[in-house]
Amino acid sequence: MTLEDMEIHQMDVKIAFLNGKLEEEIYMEQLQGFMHQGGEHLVCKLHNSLYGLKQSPRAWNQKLDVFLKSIKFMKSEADPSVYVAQVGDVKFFIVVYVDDLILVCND
Amino acid sequence: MPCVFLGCYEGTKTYHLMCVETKRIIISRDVVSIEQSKDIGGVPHFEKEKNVVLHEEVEVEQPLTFSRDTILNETRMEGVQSESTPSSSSEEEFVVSNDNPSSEPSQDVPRERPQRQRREWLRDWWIATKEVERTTVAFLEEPQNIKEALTCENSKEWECAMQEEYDSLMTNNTWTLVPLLVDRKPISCKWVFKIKQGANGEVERYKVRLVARGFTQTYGVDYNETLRRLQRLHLFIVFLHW
Repeated sequence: MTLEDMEIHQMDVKIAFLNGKLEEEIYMEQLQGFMHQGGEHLVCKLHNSLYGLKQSPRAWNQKLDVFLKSIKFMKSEADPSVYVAQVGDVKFFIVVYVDDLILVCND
Repeated sequence: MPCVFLGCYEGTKTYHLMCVETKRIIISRDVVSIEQSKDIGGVPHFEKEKNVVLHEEVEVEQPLTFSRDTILNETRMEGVQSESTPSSSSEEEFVVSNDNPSSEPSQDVPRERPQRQRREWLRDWWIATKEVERTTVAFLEEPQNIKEALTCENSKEWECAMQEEYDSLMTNNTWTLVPLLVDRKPISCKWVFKIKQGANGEVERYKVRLVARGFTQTYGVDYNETLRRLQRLHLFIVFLHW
């Protein structure tokens, strides 16, 4: 960082896994203790990701990927956990590890 | 006694040292490292006081060969006798962990704890094990399922926390209730109960989470792809160290 006089900042995302949208149709039993009165035969059709699902990490990563691309970040070809953006002379790097992010920029 | 630090072995609590004068290998824990750099024959060294022999010394027949990479630090060994032995006064320090609420409900019968003699060379380990014991006690109080949560003495708190979690799932629009298709089997879910503790072991928060039981999902039906490539941890670390 000292070489190019860059700033570094670290962050992590709260309840990241609950933010992912599911691509598959998943049905889940109703919760113990929160049964719908008169609708015991119904099941929960999931829209958002939950802890414990097989696709939770992927759903979260997809969501983050779409968001970063929407703000003009490009995914590195060599390493899919690195995103790069350039505005004029200012370069931004983001390194992703599940819900931990490191932001680096030379401004 | 000046010694050279050779290394620590996994699974033991001892340092392995070589005495500079006698060329013997010494296994001991009574080691104090010297921060200032001093060289004996071009090798950083340790010291051990002469009159103390705590552990067996191993005689080495052939001339010692060791790589300089194994020399991590410099130490000075210090005799136990020269220190004042921590006696009854320090014993009291370790019998404090009983202030944990509801860990022992029968308080009218004060139980006599067996006073164990601590090994002198293990005294720095003692506090660590005490901490572990205390966390284990608190851990056991957490209900394993919803039935336990609603019947235990903290059921009010658990119920509150469950409602909170449920409400947040609802506001996130996590699911909608639908009739089940004939050929589908719903996956199961469960509540997980956790007590968040502060630094002193006091209860900070009752936390409840709903988790789906991912192992009841069927490949190709409930899920297709799972992980993105997240194994590039080393790169993440490189950036962290920068």
